[in-house]
Amino acid sequence: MTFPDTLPDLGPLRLTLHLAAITTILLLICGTPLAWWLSQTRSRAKPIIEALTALPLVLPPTVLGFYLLVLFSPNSTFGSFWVQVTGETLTFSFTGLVIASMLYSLPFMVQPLQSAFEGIGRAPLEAAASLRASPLDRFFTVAAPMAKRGFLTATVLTFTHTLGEFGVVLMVGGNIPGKTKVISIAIYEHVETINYADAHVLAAILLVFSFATLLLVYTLNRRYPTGGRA
Amino acid sequence: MLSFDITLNYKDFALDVAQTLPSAGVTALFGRSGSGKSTLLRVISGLESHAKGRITWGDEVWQDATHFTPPHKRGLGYVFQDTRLFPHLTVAQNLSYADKRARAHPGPSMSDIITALDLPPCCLATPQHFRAVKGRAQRLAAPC
Repeated sequence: MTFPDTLPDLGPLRLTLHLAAITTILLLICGTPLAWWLSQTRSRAKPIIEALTALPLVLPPTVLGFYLLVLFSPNSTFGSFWVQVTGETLTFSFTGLVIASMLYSLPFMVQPLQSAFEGIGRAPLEAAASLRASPLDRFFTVAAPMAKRGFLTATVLTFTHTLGEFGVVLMVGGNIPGKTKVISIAIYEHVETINYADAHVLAAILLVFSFATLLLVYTLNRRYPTGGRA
Repeated sequence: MLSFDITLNYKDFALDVAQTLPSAGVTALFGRSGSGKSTLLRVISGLESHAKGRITWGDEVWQDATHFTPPHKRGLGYVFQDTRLFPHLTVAQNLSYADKRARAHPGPSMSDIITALDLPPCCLATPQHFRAVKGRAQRLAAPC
């Protein structure tokens, strides 16, 4: 194994971090209400929504990517609507990648949050309600702080999972430098062109970063076994 | 005056009570274990959303066929059998959680409560530490 004297183009790394950060933030905003609803509801629609949420876990990324490609296409209703509103196509664009990543990483955000919310049980929320705390108040002052560990796990899993995205990106985003060429695609391209040295550097960065993040989460979870103090 | 005429049906349990209680003094509720004493209190508090019927407090309608006042708007204090302290807050924060939300309503101040309960100055500890001293957690949860 030989390392090159100069580093490979780190643009894909920057793009990947950017994509993962935006995806994580947007999923925190959209996934939290969904996870909360799933944890509290007695609706009959719950298993359907749960199954849909978990689908990206088992579906090959190429299948998800294929359907998104069809959906994003300017010839489809949604795709042409998007072009009319924004003037850009979703296929082979960074925005398209963000939407695809959000769907791809949805279960990694929703599932840890849902089980954290379910773990709280009804008792503390009922106590808060009897102390005149409104539902929103109860969520922010009781549920969210007690689910702190769930938030940490969900955020980190979503972020690291989006970092390693490959199949969906390839289908929806292609391989446009600075726009849709993420790190896993750059690695694939380096390997295809037998540029193992650059592939090694990027792969090592991804490996070390992912391991370090997960290690941090498990260390923190060990230190705060019951959710810690808020 | 508190009036209720309610029914609540679960798979292996049915509650069907109608009663009017005075608004002053102490009213005790007797019954065998499992007869639904706690469930009735939960229904009155608005914690059992499946209960059907009518509950009124003076002129206020808390529940009828078309209306349901959520528990946080009923202004009821509820001492749960299990001590429901918030584990993520310190003892002092547990007390002020209730205090903050009760400011607009008349009642004893937080310092009155601390004095009345004879809480030692360990109020900054978490409930987990506090629970080690038997009985204290219950006393603390009561005014919360």
